[in-house]
Amino acid sequence: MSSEILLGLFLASIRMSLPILFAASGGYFSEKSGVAQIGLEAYLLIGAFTAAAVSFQTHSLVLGYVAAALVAAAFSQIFNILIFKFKANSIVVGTGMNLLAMGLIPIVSKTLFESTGSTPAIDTSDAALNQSLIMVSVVTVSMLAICYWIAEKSSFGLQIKFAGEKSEALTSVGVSYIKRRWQAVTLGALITGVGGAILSTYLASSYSPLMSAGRGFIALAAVIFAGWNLRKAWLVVLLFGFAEAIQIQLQNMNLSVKIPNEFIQMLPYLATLVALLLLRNKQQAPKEIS
Amino acid sequence: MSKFLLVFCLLMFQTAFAEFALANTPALKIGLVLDKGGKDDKSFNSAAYAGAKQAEKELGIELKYVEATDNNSLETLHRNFAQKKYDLVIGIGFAQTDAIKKVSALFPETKFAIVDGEVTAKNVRSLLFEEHEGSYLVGAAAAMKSKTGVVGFIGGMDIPLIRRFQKGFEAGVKSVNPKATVLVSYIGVTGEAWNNPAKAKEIALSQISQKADVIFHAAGASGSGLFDAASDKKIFAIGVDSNQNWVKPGVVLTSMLKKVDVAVFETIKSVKAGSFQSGVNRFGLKDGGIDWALDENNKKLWSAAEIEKLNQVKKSIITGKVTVPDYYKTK
Repeated sequence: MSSEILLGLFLASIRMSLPILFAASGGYFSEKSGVAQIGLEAYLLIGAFTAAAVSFQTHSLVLGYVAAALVAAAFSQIFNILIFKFKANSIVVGTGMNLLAMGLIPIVSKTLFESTGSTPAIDTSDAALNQSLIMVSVVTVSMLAICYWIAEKSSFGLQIKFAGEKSEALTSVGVSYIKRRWQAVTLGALITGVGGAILSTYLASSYSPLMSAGRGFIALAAVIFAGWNLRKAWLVVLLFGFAEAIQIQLQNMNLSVKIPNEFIQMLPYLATLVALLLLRNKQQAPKEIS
Repeated sequence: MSKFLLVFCLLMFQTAFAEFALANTPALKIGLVLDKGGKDDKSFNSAAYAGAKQAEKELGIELKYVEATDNNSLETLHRNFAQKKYDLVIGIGFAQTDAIKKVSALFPETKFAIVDGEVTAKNVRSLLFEEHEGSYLVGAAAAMKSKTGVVGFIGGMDIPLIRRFQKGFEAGVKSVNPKATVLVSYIGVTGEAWNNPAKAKEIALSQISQKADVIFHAAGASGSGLFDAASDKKIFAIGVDSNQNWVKPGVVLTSMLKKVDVAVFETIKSVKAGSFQSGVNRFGLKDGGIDWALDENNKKLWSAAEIEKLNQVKKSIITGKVTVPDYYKTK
């Protein structure tokens, strides 16, 4: 295999895993604080739509990203209020959030663009594409660094973990665990929203309905299977992206042996499962997760 | 004089009333159930929506459309239209076949139409297209324009219907350049494959890295990913279903037109005229239901000789001089 193909494969793996990487990081904080988070799909969609719409209207990618993060974070307050104020079940509300996002976006886009779902395409000139690439690189690297710092180095991160493991301990030192959980969910939605922005403005050039295509759930699975360990979750996501890239490459090769297409399509999932079995560790779910 | 006034008033009243009554004749109610891609997929569903919209404008019908977000809701959507006494309910896409089969049996008074699916019932009209013919034609076009001898095909969901596109396309490519390589990829095996432009783009990039310089997609809303990759890497793309030449002028070589809009419009028109007929309607190159798109957006890309050559290919399919392999009939 030539180095060119290898490089292509590597870049493809990164691209395929980007939105999932963000969603997994976002999901991690929520889960770690003790709030089961299956609404990642919703934050991805909201982020993707907001970024595409704002970038189109303002011709500014930066504004699109900022708006995606803020709107996704604001959107998650619905979840927060239902969970913390009204003590609703997080799985039920999370499902509701996904459905709400699916239904809400067409309504908003209809008023904005006379279209139920997709947004007009953003600028895709070479200059714009370069700018987009730089933007994504900077945002991704800083996201990884910031998430790592919060999770492993900051006292805020430690408190989030305590909120999920032993909330009484936090209460005993005068910190509200509810508040920490609230912040963790909001932070998670914010990060996931940026992942959505990458999906619609970098990996595509507009928003199209339901474009998250299950990435939120894959991210959640990565977090859970990685034993609620942030770095392992990232590794799992990258592995999944790599397997996806290989899968695409395999389909395009005219193999002499006829492997059923369905089998090739299954490979990413299979590879991830196998890797997860090997990665298995003793770390358990946050004790107070609900 | 007063008598005259009275008569005049009565007359006025009568005309006014007659007009009022006329305005109140219930308009034909048409329900349109779109597939997952949604009305703005710029492809398959957009074509169906355009046809229904045209009918609304020209025939004065009452149109209501819904978009299915998942396949489980299809039956409910059809049922709702039928219960509300819609005159005609149109289902867009193969995924709605089962729902229509079921609901049409329950509401024999309501008329149904389905695009891309076959339902045998007294009140259902099935609108089918000979996709392989058009795919063959754009396959020939791709091979004529390819410099590297490598062309690509991106399918949406891996189903027989899309395989039919693929088989036709491959045959068309080989008819012009027997040595050409056709790279074939599918986005997925679930309905999400119609809404995954990011993955379509990745597949296109992978095909381009293997020297493909013309890529045809049959992937609904995911197709925009191909157009992005093609304009980024300066290669040609071929659109599908709707005329997609305008999406990226100069990049989209042509589009394989599947005139769902015409089929939908004609069906509505037949209901309006009271000449609705159940059974299967097949649209192909012969009747213009399938075609290739040539307009101001891609005219510059084609020389007169090339256009002539493509029209020759088209003619030879219509006259039966060339038999296009049909995935439905072969193994």
